[in-house]
Amino acid sequence: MSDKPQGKPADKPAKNLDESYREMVTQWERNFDSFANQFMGTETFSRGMNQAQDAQLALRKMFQEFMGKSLENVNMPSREDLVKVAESVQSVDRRLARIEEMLSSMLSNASPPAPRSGPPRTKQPPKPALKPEGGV
Amino acid sequence: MAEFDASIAAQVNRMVERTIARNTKGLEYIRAPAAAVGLTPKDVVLERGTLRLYHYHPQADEIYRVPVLLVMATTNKAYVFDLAPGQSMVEYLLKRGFDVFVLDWEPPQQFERNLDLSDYTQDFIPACIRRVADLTGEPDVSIVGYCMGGVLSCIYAATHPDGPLKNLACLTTPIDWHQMGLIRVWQDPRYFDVDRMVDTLGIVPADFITQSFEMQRPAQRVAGQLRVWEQMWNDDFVKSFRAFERWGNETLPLAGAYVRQMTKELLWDNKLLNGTLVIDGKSADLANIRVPVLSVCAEHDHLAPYTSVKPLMEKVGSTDKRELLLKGGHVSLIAGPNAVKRMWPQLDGWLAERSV
Repeated sequence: MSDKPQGKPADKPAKNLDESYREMVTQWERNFDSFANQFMGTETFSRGMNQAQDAQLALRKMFQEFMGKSLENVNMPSREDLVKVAESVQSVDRRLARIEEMLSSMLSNASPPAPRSGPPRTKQPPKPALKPEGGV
Repeated sequence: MAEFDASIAAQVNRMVERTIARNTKGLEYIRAPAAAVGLTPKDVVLERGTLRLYHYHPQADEIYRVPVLLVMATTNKAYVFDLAPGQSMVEYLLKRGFDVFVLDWEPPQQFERNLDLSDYTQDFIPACIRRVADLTGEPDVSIVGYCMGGVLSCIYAATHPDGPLKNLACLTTPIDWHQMGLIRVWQDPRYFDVDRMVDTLGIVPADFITQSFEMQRPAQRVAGQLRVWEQMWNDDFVKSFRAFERWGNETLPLAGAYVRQMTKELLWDNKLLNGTLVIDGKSADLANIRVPVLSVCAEHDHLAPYTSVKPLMEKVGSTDKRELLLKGGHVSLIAGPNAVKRMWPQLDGWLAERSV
């Protein structure tokens, strides 16, 4: 997901070998990406990629079904069974969180607010405000 | 002539020095453990399934009244906001006097495969806001959402027009999903069977997400390695590169129902742009948003191009709204040495005026 985030190359002397190398890499990257994007941006590529993905998913599904049946035959819980258990635990967890939140809200309503720790919330923005750089 | 010779000698000398440094540091680079990231002191103040809410320890003697909640994109870890001391947006905001909370995500588990936009925008974000209010005693909060975190924040804001939101800042937040370039071509409804994928996998694996990001810039990884080799003598560059590399490698899987809904309702039907998105029976029309809005876009953003981000300004109902188009890409806008100079001071200035 990153996009050339690697920091600023140090030094900017007159053009030298290092700089030429950097430019060459940047140029190569641009050309390669542009070429690849042209090809990958076509309908043909999209169709091919998704067909390959569908085939992979079909294979995976077959394997899942086979494993599920095998586990059932030896009287073992499948992944699906375990997920169902985890889902009920999660539902209980959510309810508990809601009850906890309600209780804490009832308690805080019943008692005077406790003094907050930390620095005072009195800061004012500096004047004059910063000049905008790239506003549109 | 003598000057020219001296210049050549200096260049050769530097080349030799750097070649030696590349070799010695190159070995260290290969052996070194993963880069240390997310070092700013914090507490986990809410933990529920995939959700984590961090509260960072204030670093100023006096802070603004309104706390700030950073909402991370669901595809990546939030430590991109806190990469390394001196390159941390969180640290910067803390030093500028903000009380900072970050909403981060852990990889969703199989039992969380049914999480969808409703869970993220009607349960997770509101729960975090309640927790922030509880801890700070303040009735309102500013939200800063990044990428998909911005989309979730917009949906939250549009479905909660009565608050308690004070300000909304969206960083590289796509609104017009039909402008999403290659992703739209690859997920063409004629060829991409999202139901089949989600029903088979439950959770969409991180590999799938990483691939769809990397395929948009296929030369990026190799070019990155070539650049880091050349800059191997430069410790700051290598440190920054490794932190970003780690972050890029730690892409998160996504809940299947969430991917299904994003694909159908946002990417295919463009409901966020059209104002037809409905979440839990509530309209997520962006015109419902009336709080001050800042939209920050990157000139060279290939994931959320400017054309996809631009409509936010037209669609929100706010009168106090501002758009910034800054140099940089999708990630370098928010982290790295350029973000320190470009985006962070702008965000600080905008929030400061509206945080008292």
